[in-house]
Amino acid sequence: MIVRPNQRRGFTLIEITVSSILLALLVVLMGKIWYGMLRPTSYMAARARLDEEAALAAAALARDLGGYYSDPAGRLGTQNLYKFVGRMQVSNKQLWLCYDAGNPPNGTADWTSPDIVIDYELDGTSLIRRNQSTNSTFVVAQYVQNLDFLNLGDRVQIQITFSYRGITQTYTVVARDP
Amino acid sequence: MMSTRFRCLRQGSTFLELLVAFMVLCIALTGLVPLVAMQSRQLARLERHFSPGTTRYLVPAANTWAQKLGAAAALQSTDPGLKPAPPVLEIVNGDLGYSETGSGWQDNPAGLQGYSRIHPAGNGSNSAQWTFTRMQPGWYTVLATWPSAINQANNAAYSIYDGTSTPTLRGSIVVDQTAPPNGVISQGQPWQSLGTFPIRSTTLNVILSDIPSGQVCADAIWLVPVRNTVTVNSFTRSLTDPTVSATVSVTVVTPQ
Repeated sequence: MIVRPNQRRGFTLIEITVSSILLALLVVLMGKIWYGMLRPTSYMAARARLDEEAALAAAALARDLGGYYSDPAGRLGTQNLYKFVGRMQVSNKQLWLCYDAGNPPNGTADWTSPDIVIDYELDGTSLIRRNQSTNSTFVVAQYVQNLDFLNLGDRVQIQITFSYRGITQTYTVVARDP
Repeated sequence: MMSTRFRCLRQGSTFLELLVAFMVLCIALTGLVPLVAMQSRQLARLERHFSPGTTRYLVPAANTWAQKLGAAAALQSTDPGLKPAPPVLEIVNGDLGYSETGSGWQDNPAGLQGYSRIHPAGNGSNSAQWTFTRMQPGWYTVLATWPSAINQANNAAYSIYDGTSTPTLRGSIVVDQTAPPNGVISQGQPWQSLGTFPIRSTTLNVILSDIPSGQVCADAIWLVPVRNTVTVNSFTRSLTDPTVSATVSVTVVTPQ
């Protein structure tokens, strides 16, 4: 018996038809997956990133608006030492907080040494917290588009707009003076 | 014998191969579902805490020592309202916080603000009361002032109570209202100390009742908080386990 080597090089019509149908199905499925899962996942990840940034900014503000100088030195001394004594909104773009110091503390905001001044301001797209007394800064949030401080008497309204991967979200905090 | 071997030159895939590849892709995509669920849960949790488009409020701790030792302001969704006013520490007759029971109280054109209230000798069923609310628990020196008069009782009794529902008597002090108060001068008037008392609730009541031996005069009561001078020498916190512990070293100087 003579067996001829299989020399078929192409597909049959049925194979091409089935493959085309499967390919079309795959394209549709991929599209659905993109719109139904991957894109929302990416969107949610970006939103979660903004929420985390906002939560970190709120935590930093909560510490500094808690009533005392929030660095470790603020825990020490008498009850009047390092107490929150003043707040300023410079051009509604910077928030200055003054903590009483000196020996003894004089109970008023002097905005200069020996008092300690902490300020929040925007540096590019970063929200930074600066200790004017030690001239040290740290970045509180990275994707800030806009920052506004509004004096409401014994409160201050802080509005921070974040922007990340095409998503823009605004968070508002109203802080009551200690 | 003839060879049955032959070369397979087919370049494409069989239907079975495509099907298997398709199934593998589906399984891989199924693995994304937990990721999506995790992301959405994390987002929900974050936005429950602080979501865009809503206003959150930062409210400092009520206790000053808690603030001093590092309690951050609380982030909450409800408006806490205005900052509570500090407690009133001086109540003059006629002010909010002053009240009378019984009958027979009369105006007297003398006193801290030019007037006071007097009651003739009685059986003890009529009283004047000064109620201080929103107090911080602690020690207070209670001072009283009255315009003296020769026809007033020399044994008028002020009683100091702590609390409202089941008040605790902290002391009962007898003063001579025929003579001016013996003590510090404030607002142009002499004030006599009735003593220093511990207050554990947030309400302090001072009651002056009528007595059979003579007329009593109700004018004003002034509270002076007695505070220790506390200095924090060191403060360390441990965050190594779920229980946060703090060690505080303080120096306390009690008032002399």
